[in-house]
Amino acid sequence: MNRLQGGRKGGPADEARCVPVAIRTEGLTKAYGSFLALDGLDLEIQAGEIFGYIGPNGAGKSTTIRLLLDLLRPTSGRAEVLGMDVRRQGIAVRRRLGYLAGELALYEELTGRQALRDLARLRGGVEEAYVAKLGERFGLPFDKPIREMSKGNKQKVGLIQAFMHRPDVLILDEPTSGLDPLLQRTFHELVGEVAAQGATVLMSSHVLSELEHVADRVAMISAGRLLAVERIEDLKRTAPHKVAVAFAAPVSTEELSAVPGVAGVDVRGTLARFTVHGAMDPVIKAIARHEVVTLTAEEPDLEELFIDRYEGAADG
Amino acid sequence: MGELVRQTLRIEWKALLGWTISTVLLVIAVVAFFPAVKGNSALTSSFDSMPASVQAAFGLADLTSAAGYLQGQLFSTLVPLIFLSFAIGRGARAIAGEEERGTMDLLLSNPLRRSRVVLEKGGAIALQLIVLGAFLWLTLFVFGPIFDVHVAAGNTAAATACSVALGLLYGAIALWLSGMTGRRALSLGIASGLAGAGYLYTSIAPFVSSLSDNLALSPFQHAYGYNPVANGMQWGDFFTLVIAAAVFVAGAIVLFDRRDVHA
Repeated sequence: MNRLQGGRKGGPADEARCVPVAIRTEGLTKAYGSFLALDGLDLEIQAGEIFGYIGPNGAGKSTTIRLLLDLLRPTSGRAEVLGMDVRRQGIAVRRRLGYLAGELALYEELTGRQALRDLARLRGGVEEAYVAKLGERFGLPFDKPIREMSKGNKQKVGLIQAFMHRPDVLILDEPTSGLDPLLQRTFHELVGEVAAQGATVLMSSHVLSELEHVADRVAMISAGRLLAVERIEDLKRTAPHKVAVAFAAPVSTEELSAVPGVAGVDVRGTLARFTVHGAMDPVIKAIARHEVVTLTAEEPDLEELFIDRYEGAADG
Repeated sequence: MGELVRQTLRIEWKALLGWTISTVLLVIAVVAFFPAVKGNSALTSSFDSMPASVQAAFGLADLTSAAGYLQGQLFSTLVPLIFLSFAIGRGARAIAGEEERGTMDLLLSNPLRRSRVVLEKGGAIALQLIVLGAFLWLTLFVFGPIFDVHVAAGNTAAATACSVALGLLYGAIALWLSGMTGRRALSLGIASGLAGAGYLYTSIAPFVSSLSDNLALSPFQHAYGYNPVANGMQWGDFFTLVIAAAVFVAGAIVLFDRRDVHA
């Protein structure tokens, strides 16, 4: 089923194959008795890509992620990270991987500094200056006992330990939970930077809006099944925009409806509202024949669009 | 190797300190009563009328000699109780406790083999038991003579070593259950139950002919059944316990490595 990188012969897929694949799953399945937590997941994430993984709670996001970490053992199928089998070469995989758990738990008895130092030691040491830099960036109170930290501060410790060894692959389960908007931005900047340096980032969220400004592609999963994978760019380009135009003088419904891509025209006096599918250019050229007082185009709600488009597939 | 042992000790040192202080105080209290018990023939003769099995279960046989007193009041009663409670609690928590807290995910996202986690967790328990044992012995060595408890240091060392080995075995059993099930309370309950059963069996079996043939099956018999306080080190018994502990640790590794880590 869901083979994402398309055909094996000919066409643009050939180009895609030249890019090294950082994460690949083949028919990855996890069953608990008769319950399928993950059902035959086929996924390919390219090196250097920021990949969003969205779906409602319990859809199978964390199951996928914990299978990649070799914390769970698949019922069938397999997974590779950086070309290495996560079961047989788990140690080598995890040496190059940074992970943030969805339900982050830390040793509450320790301070942030102690916890990070212990984790660094388990990796055979990391660049201390980089840890300090990350801490400063997120504003982590290093010497506070974790027991006394807010959820946001704990999440900072979790993020720092995931990034501190400069991993080639980052797997982050709900990374922004507990972070305030300013820190979310700091986090998004960091993700952008490491991706620019070639790292691959897989991050999950239960809402698309958290991912649409950072991710290159997003996959949507529901009830253990992959529904779709889309480029954020494509989603945005094809998304219908809601447009409202205030003209100096009334313009007829017929005229607006005749413009390619325009639908649902609603004219009230000098104010016209409609939806534009596809390119905006014909619309701009058509309304430019009249005097335009104000023009607003709403950012499309990708979430709604995504759900609308694929909800049927989930039931089928 | 060793990072996880250090980390575990750093997290648990305060608790260990508490256990150590209680052990030391308890041992001092026990030896402090020796002069009173030794001189009280009415007390000791009143125990004589009890069945031998009851005397054995409560450590009441031969209370008038220092060695008999330590064997009865410490090494066949309080010391196993302390060491086993400590070891079983730690063993049950070592794997399942990390899973229940959610910190196992964090540990295993590092390039660590699960076997290393089990070995180092087990190693940390062993080290802490040795610390407890060392303080037990030292307390007897320092405070024994003050209260007329004169037993050769080699013999108390032997009895302590066997008690530590008993702790290792039951800690390893708890670790094995913890590795197999990932459930802390369950592991704690089963390992404690096994310890209780072994203790009772060892106390009663010598006086029941149908049971006494299989006494060698009881870890408690190897730990103190042959009275190391009076008779000195019995290496065979000691190694029987240690090897059995190693077998359970190996079992923990195999079983933990095969299953999902609980979130």
